[in-house]
Amino acid sequence: MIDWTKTKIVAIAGLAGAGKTQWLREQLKDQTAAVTYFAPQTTDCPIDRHCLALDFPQWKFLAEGQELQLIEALQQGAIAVLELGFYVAPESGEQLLKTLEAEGFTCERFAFVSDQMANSPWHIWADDIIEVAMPLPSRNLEIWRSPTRGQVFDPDSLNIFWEELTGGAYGDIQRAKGVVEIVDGRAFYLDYVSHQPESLYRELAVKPWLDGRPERFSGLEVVGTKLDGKQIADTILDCCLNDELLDYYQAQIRQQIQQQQNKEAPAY
Amino acid sequence: MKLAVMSCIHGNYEALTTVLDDIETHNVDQIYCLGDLVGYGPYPNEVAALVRSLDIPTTQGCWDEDIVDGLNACDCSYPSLLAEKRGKAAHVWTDKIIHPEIREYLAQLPLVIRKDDLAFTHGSPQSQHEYLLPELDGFLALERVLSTGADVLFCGHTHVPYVRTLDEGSLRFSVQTDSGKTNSEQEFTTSIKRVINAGSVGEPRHGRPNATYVIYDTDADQVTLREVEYDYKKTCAAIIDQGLPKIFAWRLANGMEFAERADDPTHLCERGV
Repeated sequence: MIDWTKTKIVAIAGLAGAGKTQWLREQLKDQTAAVTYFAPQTTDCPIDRHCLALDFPQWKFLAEGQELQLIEALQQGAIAVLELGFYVAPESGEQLLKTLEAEGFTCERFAFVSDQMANSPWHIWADDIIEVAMPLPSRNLEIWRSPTRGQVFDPDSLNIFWEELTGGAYGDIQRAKGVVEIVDGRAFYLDYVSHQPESLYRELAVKPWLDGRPERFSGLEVVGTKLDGKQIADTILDCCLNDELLDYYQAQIRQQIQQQQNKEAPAY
Repeated sequence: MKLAVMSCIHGNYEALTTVLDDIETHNVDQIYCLGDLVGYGPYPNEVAALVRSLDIPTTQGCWDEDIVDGLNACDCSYPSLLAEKRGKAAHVWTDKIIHPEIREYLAQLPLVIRKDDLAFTHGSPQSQHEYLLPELDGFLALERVLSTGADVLFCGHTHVPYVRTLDEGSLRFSVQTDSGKTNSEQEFTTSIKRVINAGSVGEPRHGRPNATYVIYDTDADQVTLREVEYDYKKTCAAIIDQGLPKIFAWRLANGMEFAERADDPTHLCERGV
């Protein structure tokens, strides 16, 4: 457990699919102090950040270039979380952490590693090692990621695609996650790690989007080897509705909702 | 008499020749084929030509029918957008490559073949596109068998083999006219009927790439489901060589259907009903 009376900054790093973000949720779910989340080297596909923002709307989210705001938040009593993706070398966040420590903010570094891993740059970097029962990662891991903002999946097609993706049709997948929109207006978080038996599907707490293409974040990230990015991208497009179909289904769903509301409305 | 019944070859020549070799070892008197000679797989002409050259009585499958008449099935052919796009890509490829004499051969294949108390069809006696899933309502399944006048109905199309026995049934019905008057009820009983699905030679969906077919002993009324290994890697390589979608090779190797997948036992194809 983290002693929040001493620790002001929590930095986490480690393997993809080791459960970093979930651990963070657990650590901070009852936190009453203001929380600032900072992710260096963010991408155009910030899946974890998006989901955390939905779960913890009171948190402040900062990215590279907003270091001064991070310091200000800490000075005002906030707790800071630095999440280093597995693709970010741990030392790349060190300069910022050292600066913050020099300002008097205590930092605790956590690294998530495989229990089969004897040493790694994370072992050298971290104050605390969290060993996870998972296989050693493959060498030469590749990342494929893409924002899919505005794209709406046909759910049956999404199921087929996800089954193929996690089954190895587009490369040897170690990790896949995403935020996807489906035709009934709902958005889901999908999460697969190769050492877990099943994928996780979680509905996100967002307002159903039933009027055109959703103007909010969605995207997919795949980690593995021998990834066929073109096939992944092409298949995603084949799973998504064109404008005509989207209009048609959204109109039907809106009508159903209206009929249901009329039924439930008290008769005078 | 010993019969071998096979279905859904889908242009998979390797699977077909291996199954024919397996049939050879079982001293079968007659082979029947329930159609879908073409579609998805890389050798539609070769498969159809071989079946034709062996004079195997064959019914017309939904893919055979689509290659002759064009795509005009109801929604049951494609359970998803992705399946539809892939199915249409395979249709376009097959339509382009098919030889005129093979198209003529496919065109003259019948919907149903009757032989004594046996009937053979691809999907159902009503439509090549209709799935007789094992969970289909018993009354409807019985109606489909009765419509052929046979006691045993062989079908394919679902790609998963099964045997379903419909116990001695009693049907009671009445007809209501527009005037609201109900005619007297009629009732009749039927003897035991059976639906036997032969699975798929070239496009299995049981989680392994192996071909399946059935052997039926008419004297002993005994059904044997056969699962036969074949060199599926050759077919996978041919899929890629011929420029068909690469994902078909992966799905075949994993015992998954290329695209179509029937899940809804209550759905009755709108075509031909």
